[in-house]
Amino acid sequence: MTKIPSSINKIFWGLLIVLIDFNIIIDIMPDIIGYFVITSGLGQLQPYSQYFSKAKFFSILLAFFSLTAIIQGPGIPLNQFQPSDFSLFFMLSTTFLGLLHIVLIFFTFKGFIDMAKKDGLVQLSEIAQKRLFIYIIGAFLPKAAVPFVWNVDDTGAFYILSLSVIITVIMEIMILILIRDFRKRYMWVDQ
Amino acid sequence: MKIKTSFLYAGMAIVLLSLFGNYIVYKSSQLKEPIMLKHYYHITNRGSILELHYIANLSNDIDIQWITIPGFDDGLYGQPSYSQTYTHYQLKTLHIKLDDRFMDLLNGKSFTFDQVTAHLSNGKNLTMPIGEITIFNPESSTLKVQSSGSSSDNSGFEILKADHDFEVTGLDLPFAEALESALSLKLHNARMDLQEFNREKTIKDSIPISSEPFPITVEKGKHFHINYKFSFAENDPHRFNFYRIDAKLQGKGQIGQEFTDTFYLSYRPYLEEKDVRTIVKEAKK
Repeated sequence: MTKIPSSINKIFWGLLIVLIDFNIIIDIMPDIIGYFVITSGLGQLQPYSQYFSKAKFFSILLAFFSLTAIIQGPGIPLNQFQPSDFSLFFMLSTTFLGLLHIVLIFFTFKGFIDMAKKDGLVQLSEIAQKRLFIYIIGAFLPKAAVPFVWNVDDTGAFYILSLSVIITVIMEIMILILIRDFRKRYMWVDQ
Repeated sequence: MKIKTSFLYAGMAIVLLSLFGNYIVYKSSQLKEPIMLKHYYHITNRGSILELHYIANLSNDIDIQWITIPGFDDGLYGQPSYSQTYTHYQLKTLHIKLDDRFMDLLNGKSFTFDQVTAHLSNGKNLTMPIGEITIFNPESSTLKVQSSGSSSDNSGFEILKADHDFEVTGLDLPFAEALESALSLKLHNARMDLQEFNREKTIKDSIPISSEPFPITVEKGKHFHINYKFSFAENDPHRFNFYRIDAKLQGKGQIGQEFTDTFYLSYRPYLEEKDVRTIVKEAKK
């Protein structure tokens, strides 16, 4: 395996770890591990685009802030689900982490697009542009919708939170698939 | 298609606007203390549970722990329960047992109070107007209740009977002024004109009122029907009040002996989201 596909692979697995939460008493795959793996992958890709350096900065920042999430524990008390009780601190911290994650994906993909253009992979860069556009909208929408749980009834809050989770997961999977496409393409280029 | 960084900033701005905007709306809707609703009860002491309704934050951050009634310094404890939830609030009911200590205080007399001191979970004490509650001792009943019932649409009936001929000569209906346009009352199929009833009351300045349709004569063994229905207009200022009334029927027996009997009417408003908002808005003024 050559350097670029291997680095892209690290970003893929890092994002997958962040996406999947295995909570068996404690989160056995905490986000901090995922962000460190992503940081490693981005570090290797830095020579190919300046955007990867920006993305790496946000990845380190996310790794640091993910520590607070481990200490804080699960944010939503599921045995006493009352969204109107979500504290400002809880909402601020989850929104802050969510926004940083979007920025990370944004600069990572700007890097991929930049790299693909330089390597003459026009079609792939165009597909990535379109997907990134969809991702940005699909990622911001739930983040903007979630604070409404304070001002709707519990049924409304349940729908907002459920739809937000579903949309977020779909967006992340779409991004993961695109990263796999980049990896495959660069494996083929390297051959 | 080129996605600029400004697109990212715009998204962030929308998210932060939503976050702080929603938080401001949420915080501004929160109550500093519960809002006691108005209760107009004129009841006999045979029902030993007093229900007081109030609106509290949905988060239950500040609640009523117990109440004291002026003139009766021992606290009255009641278990609060919630009956309905709204976006930011909940309608709660304090079920207060009027125990022997309270009954001893009555000592056969009636007792009226219009405010209570609520002891809140944050340690504060708050005097709250509650409407007007009168508790009185009923006289021994002459008429027997054959059947009675009430419905969630705030209607009800009572069927009375006696083992001798009797005559209903008058009615004492507390809060009749406030209920003038909301209460439809039929005594033995004769509709009471509450406007006329109140006019009569003002002129004579006395109760019971003995104008039309009184006297009503009921033969031995025949049923005396009482039907009522509360129906408040949308802008009626009394529509959010709770009413529990033991109205007094004045009558005469076969050999002219006078009696007073009671029949029961109750109204419990069904509060929708907009109603609760109106109550909160009024209370915050």
